[in-house]
Amino acid sequence: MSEQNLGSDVHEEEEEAVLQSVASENTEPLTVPPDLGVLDEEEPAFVAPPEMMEEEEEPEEEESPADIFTHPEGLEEEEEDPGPTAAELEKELQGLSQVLEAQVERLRAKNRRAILSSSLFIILVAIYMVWAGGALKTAFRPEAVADAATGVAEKAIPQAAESLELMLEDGAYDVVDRFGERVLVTLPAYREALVEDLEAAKKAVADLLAARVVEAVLALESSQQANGGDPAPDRNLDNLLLKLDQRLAASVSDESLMQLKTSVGGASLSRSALEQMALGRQPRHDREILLSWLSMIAERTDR
Amino acid sequence: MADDRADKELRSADHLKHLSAERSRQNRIRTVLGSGIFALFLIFAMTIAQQFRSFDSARLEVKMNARASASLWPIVSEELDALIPKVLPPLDATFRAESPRYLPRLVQHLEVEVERYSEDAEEQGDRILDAALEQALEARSEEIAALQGSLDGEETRSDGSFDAMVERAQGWARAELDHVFGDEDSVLDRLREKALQSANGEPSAENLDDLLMSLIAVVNPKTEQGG
Repeated sequence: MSEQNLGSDVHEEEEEAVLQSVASENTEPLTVPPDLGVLDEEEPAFVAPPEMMEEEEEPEEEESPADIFTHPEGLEEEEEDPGPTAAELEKELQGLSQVLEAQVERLRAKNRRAILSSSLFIILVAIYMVWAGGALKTAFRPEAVADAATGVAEKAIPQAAESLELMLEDGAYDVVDRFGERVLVTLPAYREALVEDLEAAKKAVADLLAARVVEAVLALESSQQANGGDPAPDRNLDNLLLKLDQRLAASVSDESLMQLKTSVGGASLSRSALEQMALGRQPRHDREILLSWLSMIAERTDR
Repeated sequence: MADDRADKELRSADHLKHLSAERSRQNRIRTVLGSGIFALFLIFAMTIAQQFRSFDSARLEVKMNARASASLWPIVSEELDALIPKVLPPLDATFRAESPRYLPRLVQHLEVEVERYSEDAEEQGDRILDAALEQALEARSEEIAALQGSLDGEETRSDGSFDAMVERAQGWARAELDHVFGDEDSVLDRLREKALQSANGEPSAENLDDLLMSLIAVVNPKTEQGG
């Protein structure tokens, strides 16, 4: 018993000495790094031993681990209360140091793993994006788009044909009625197109005719001069006009005018219409007729 | 003892610093990873946008036309050929059945259009010939002036003679122009005649078929080049 008391006295002395040295020594105060506060909740930077946890349970004594080394109040309290001995504190300090060291090592290892896995992940994503970009580039080539569209159309055409057949058979009256109305509506534009279609050819022929007219008129002057001092017969207006008529009639042939009309390239719409009227309906026109009926369906669909 | 404890404290402080440094490193890793992935996606999106912007639509059109000619048109042609015997007979029958109701309206419209065409063609001929004569006279104005001078002081008044000659020549040219384009100017009139023939009395199927083709030419005008 006395030995125990003696031992406790020794411990108390040692503790006091340590506390005094802690209080008096100019050791660098242990401060809490500012980013210690961002520690993960899942994985605390340090795990306090149960003794410290008991102290932390009191809200007033909530301290960061570093406070243990800096707060003199703690020491005063320890002085008041018997509390842990210096050896226990030593042990706790050692335990804390070990825990911190283990935590540091664990975090360091975790960071190494994170660097490796992040690098690997970024490389994989980059590889995937390069691959996807290449695939898209190939897919966006006009040839590829054309192939894709053609493929879709190839599959769709037979189905569309079936639908059109049904529409044409069931809606024959509608289609014919619409066609008739369309003809009536289109007639004024067709008339204008016919007039416009002849413009170039008529201009070419008119130019030729005008040139011949001027030549014929001027030729009258030559004939007057050829008659010398007795131009009297030609001076009669009727004679002049008669002579002009003769010259004009001889100036140009119908064939040359027709050839000119054709060579100019105009009047193709009119000629096509005339040929069509002369030819009438032929079996080879069936497809054209079918397409006309189909255009009526397309027009109805557009509306 | 005190030194030992101070040493331990220092070690603990050192561990805390390392811990803090590792935490910072961890945060940096997270930031770099996030930024890296974001940058990759940004580059990817820009690449895709660039591909859209630089898409060669003209080449696509050419390729589409080529593909359509090579593979689509044969299918379409085949389908159309298959459709013709199925759908044309009912459509022809419907057109014939509707013609008694429709043809009088068509004739009425065509009569109006023939009249308007006649007016338009008259105006067009006058305008074109006047312009051509004016140009031709202008081109040989000196010779024309000499001719007018030679006629001066004669029994007939020079201005009147010259004008009469030009008028006579213009009439001839106009008649020639109308003659040359007589057929072309008669397209609508011939169409009206055809419609009138079919509208009067019992139209034959053949006449109606021919008329149908002419009407299709009105709705889908063709040129000789196949336009």
